[in-house]
Amino acid sequence: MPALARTDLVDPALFEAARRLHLEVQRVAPRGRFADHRSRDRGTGIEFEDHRPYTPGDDLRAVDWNLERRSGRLFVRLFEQQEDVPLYLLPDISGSAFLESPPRALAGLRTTVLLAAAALFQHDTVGVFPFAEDLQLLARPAAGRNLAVTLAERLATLEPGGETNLSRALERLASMRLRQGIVAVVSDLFDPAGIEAVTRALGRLRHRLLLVQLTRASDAEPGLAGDLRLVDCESGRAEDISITPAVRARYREAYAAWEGELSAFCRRRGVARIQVDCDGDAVAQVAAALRGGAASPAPTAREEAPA
Amino acid sequence: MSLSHLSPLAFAAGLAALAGGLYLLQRLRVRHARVEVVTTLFWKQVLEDTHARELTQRFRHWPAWLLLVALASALWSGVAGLEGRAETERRTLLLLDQSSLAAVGDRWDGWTRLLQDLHERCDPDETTVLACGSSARTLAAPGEASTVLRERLVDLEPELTSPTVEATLLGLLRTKHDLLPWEVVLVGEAPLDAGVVAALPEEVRLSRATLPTASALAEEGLLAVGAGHGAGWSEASVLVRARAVTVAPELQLDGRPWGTAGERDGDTWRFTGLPAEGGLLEVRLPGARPPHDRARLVLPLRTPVRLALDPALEPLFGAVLAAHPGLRQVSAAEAEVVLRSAGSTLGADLPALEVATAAAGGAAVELVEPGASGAGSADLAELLVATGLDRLAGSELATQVGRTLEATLQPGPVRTVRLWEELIAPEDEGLRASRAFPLLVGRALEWLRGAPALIPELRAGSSLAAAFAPEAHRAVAPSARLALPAAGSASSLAGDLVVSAFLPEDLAQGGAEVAALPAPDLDGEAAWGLGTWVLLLALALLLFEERLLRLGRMP
Repeated sequence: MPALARTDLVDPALFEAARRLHLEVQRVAPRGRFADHRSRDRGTGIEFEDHRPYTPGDDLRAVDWNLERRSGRLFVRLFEQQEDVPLYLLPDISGSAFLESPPRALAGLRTTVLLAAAALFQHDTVGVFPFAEDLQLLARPAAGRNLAVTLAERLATLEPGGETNLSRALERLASMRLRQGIVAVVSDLFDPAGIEAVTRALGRLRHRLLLVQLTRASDAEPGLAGDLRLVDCESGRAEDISITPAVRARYREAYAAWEGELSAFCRRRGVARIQVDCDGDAVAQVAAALRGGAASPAPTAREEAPA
Repeated sequence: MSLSHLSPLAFAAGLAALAGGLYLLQRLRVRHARVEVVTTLFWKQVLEDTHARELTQRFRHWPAWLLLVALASALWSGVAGLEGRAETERRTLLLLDQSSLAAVGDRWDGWTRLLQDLHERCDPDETTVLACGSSARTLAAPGEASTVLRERLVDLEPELTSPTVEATLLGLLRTKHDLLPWEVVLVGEAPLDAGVVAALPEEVRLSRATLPTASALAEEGLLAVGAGHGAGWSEASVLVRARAVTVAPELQLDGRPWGTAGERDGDTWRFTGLPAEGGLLEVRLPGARPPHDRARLVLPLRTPVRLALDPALEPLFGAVLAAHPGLRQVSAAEAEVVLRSAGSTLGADLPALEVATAAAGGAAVELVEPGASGAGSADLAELLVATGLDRLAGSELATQVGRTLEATLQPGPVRTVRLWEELIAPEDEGLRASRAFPLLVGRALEWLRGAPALIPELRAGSSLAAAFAPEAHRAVAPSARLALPAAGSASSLAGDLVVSAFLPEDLAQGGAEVAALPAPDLDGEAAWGLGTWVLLLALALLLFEERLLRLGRMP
């Protein structure tokens, strides 16, 4: 029994927002498909870029004979190569994503659909790898504008997973040796292993990173008091605690330290980070963040005029 | 501060148990409300310092515990019946003054009503009611209801006695000391000596219930009446002491007014020249209220002693007898007393003063008294005083006579005083030369006649057993202070009536400082007593705790 319905994830407004987004990266890894992104490859594009001396084996059709006549030497013309940027989406489907109301998974999966649609609409390839305790393969990297709906349908079939283990998921992703692209982690990032383990795993990735952090006001300031047995929704482990103002103050300190660690990592690695309030409209927040460059340095989005 | 429902020990034990119980509850693991959260990642970091209470963990909630203990203490105090006054364990002793002071006017009804009211306000199980009249009488023992007291008070009347509250209280303290502490409430105006009050044990709390009427002590009244020998043999003098008088007391002798006015000295009147014939004297104080408005007293009887004298003793006693105004020599047939030589048959069956020789073998002074035990040195001493023989200079006479002098008391059919002739015979020395000789002869003859003893002063409040015992007619020392058992009417068994009614002399003389006592406080501060305030405090603490809980400042 899926936790969410397809209609929860997809609506015309979402696709409209996706169409108006254009994800850009400054540099694209070589050997990709032809797409909208300028590649470091020099190939068969239409935009002249440079000359280089001819070497045996070069295509003779690329020899610039005019230049040979003027200089007496052989040069070949180089053209800009336009390739795609693979987007690897890692939505969090751990237990915590489905606990509250509305569940974080709703915001997370809608964000996933938004990003996937935006990438597909600009001919990029998109792969979806939901994760909880481990990484799953929901959709191999593929392109096609019509794939967005299919992805949304598949995302709607996801069942709540177990305990968050983002470190393992990222290691598993790294082991797939995927073409370098953008890894978008859509999660609350509450890995029991701690933020250090998460940042360590993120740091080992060779992809550009986009962190979509699913948050709530109660994360920083829980409205809890008294003698409580706090049960972790993922692990089921309970902690008995007497929550006093002093305890709440210490909680805030711990959360702030966690946030500080994450922010520092993002700054250090140039990781784009979008904080989405799950009680609000996730699509609007993500779109606004991408358009406003809040997720800079990479990727960024430019807004196109509606068709 | 006291507890009305629990003993202090039980209260303290309960309080300790509550504090201990709360301590354990604080340490016991509480039942936590289950809350499912997205992660306990951050909570774990703070749990090291904020672990939920566990059975063995460090006790960290002193303020909360103290607040709970304060709350529990307040409630426990309410259960214990905390009061700001007398302890429940303090037994209540209501002492009703049944003396003549309570009889003035219509005060008695007021005192009895006040006593009933006080008893109803006390715990009957811890209250004793005593009436302090001529003797202490229990009106209500612990456990007896007020209705019982009311019935017993119906027939109770004030006695014409001086106040005995002080004596009763001191007697109880001597005999019932193990029953302390006491809340003693005096119902009446019986005075208590300030020194006595100051010396009471701390466990005794003394108070006095009073009537709104004016004090009986402020009213006019006779205080004391006394009679004594007058200047002449057949005369008597009367001393009357009164208080707050505006007019002089009036005397009636055998029902007839005695017209001679007395000499006033402050609150004392002295009447002289009254006939010492054993008449009944009544002293009235116009304007005073009963029973302190009159007193009656039998005057001394000083009729001449009819004496038959052995002619052989004329040389020895003639001069003395002639000089004594209270003696009249008559024949043996008319005589009441004879003065004879030992062995003479003159008036053989009459009381006699006999003169014997030392060679006869008897003691120097021999007293014969019907019913005498013979061995009682105390009786002998009394008789020696009564007969005047104590005035003998024993050692000097012994030196003169050259023999040891001895006095004996023997039983016999009639009174007899037997003296050695050797003590009397020398004209220029010995007993006859003593100035006490006429007194000795006169006293001895009066004793032999059995005349009523002189009662120089009457004073209410102590025993008259010596004066009115069945074996009366004994000589009484003139210095003795005889007293009626109660102010009012009393008579001797012999019928020689002695009547008097007066207030205790001490009150008038002011010799003792009368203690001022506070009013009883048997009700405490009633509705808004300490217990009420404590319960209000508990309520305030409860609200405070609830507020702290809401603020999350209570674990």
